[in-house]
This record gives sequence, structure tokens and C-alpha cells, in this order.
Amino acid sequence: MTTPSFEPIVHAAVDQVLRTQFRETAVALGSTPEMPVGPGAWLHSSVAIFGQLSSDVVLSVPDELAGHLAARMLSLPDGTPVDDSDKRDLAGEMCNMLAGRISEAFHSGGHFYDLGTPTVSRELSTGAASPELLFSGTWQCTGQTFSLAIHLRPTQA
Amino acid sequence: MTPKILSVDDSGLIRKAVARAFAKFETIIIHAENGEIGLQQAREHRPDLIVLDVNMPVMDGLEMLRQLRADPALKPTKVIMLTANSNPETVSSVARLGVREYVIKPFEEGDLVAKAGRLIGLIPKATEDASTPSTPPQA
Repeated sequence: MTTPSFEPIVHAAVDQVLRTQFRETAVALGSTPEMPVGPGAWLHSSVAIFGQLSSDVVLSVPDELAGHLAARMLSLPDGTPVDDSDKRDLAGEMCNMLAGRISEAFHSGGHFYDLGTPTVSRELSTGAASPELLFSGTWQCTGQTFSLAIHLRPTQA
Repeated sequence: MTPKILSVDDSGLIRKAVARAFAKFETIIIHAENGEIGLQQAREHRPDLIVLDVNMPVMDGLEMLRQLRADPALKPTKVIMLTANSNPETVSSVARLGVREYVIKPFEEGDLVAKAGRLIGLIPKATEDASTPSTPPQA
């Protein structure tokens, strides 16, 4: 199959998810900074897309932004502290929504794609083998940077 | 009778958001984190409406829906799917199980409430009228 042009698909997905669910906007950054590796104040979530072009959508979001967006989702006043489980759920659910919108764009090409369940970690796994990077982008929302990458999912033997 | 709404989603944040969406209405909200617990809750509480995710660990929403429809006591229960999964095959499977209401995440709270209102009817909670004079304090 022809590999889709990820950039417009992903940017539209980020815009739709932030506007609809969080009443927020994000600005795409021109350069892609190094993805954070190792434990820290970041949450990393991953959702598998299964289909002809099976891939993993990986979202990395700073703890503070996760808290802000979780509060927005619950219509709490900005600055309201939220607990860690809500921040983790935010990272997983935001990645799930982005993967959903990205896979929906794939459907328009006549191929059906399904989603896995989100996994969330405070440590970005680099994996034993480096999967092929299909897309990588970085955005800024409320002054904080978050990243989204799509890796080709290794074919099962 | 106050309508009971069962929210089944593996994300606690989504379950809270669903509860928040219905906070202005007379409802009793019940929660479950996967389809298996959702079925148990449905059998125990007999909800009027189930807001159901698709992709969940242990038992997914499609399997819960199949078992719900196979149980004569629960078969008529109204269901709204609330999911990021818009796979046309999943949408068709859900429709074959009698569910027409499908809300795609990200979602507008008002969209979910409107669909729920059409299915079960929702009564807004009575609000205290600020213009009503309060009882003067006892001397």
C-alpha cells in the first residue's frame, strides 16, 4: 500500500483532540527536540494501530500539562491539582483519541484499522530494536512542549 | 424514578468526565472499569442506560454488548458507545447488536447528554433560586 502522508493527518488529529476535549490549542514547533528518555516528570503513552500499516502511536506529555488537560476534561478551574492516576489516564486517553483520529484517516484510504488499549509509563522505552519511525512531531500547548511519534509496528513472525 | 447510568470505561478520567456530564441531571451513576465488571454491575443495578467503551482489557465493550443482548433481563437496556475506535467493522458489529448511538472520542459533553436524553429522558436537577428569600435567623 502507499504510505500515507502523516503530517496533515497528525496535525489535524492534534488540533481536533485539543479543541474538542480540552478547549485548548497547540502550536507545531519547527524543530524536534530530543525525546526524553528515562524516568522523570513526563508521561509516555502508547496505543497500537492494527491493520495493513500496523504502527504504535507514542505520546510524551509533561506531568504539568497532563494535570492541566485532565482538569480541563473535568471542567475544573485551571490550576486545580489532579491526582497522579488522573494524569496517567489523561496521557493514555489523549493518545487513544489521537490514535483513533489517525486510524480514521487511514480508513478513508479503504483500509480498516483497529486500536489496542493504551499503555502508560513514566519511562520512555527505547526498545531492543529501533522500529522504523514513520512520523515525529512536537507541539507547544500552554507554554509546554509535548511530542507524538508513530513507529512502524514490527511484523509478528 | 431516578434513571441509573452505568459508565464502563478502563479510564477513570473518562468515567469521571461522564459522571460530570450528567451532574446537572437527576441520575444515579454507576462505574465499571471493564466489560466483565460492567456485566456484574448491570445484573446488580439494572441500569436504564450504559455508556460503553470498546477497547478495554479483561473484556472489551463488544463482548460485553453480546452478553448483554444474550441475557433476556438485560437485553432491552439502552446503550451508547463512547469510544475512540471508529473502525467501520466495529461500528457495524455494534449496530447489528442494536446500538445506533455511537459517540466518538474526543467528544462534546453536550452531544453525549443529548443522545442520552433522547434514549432515557433526563430531568434537570432543581436549583436553588437565589431570589427566594431565605428564612430569617431565629433570634
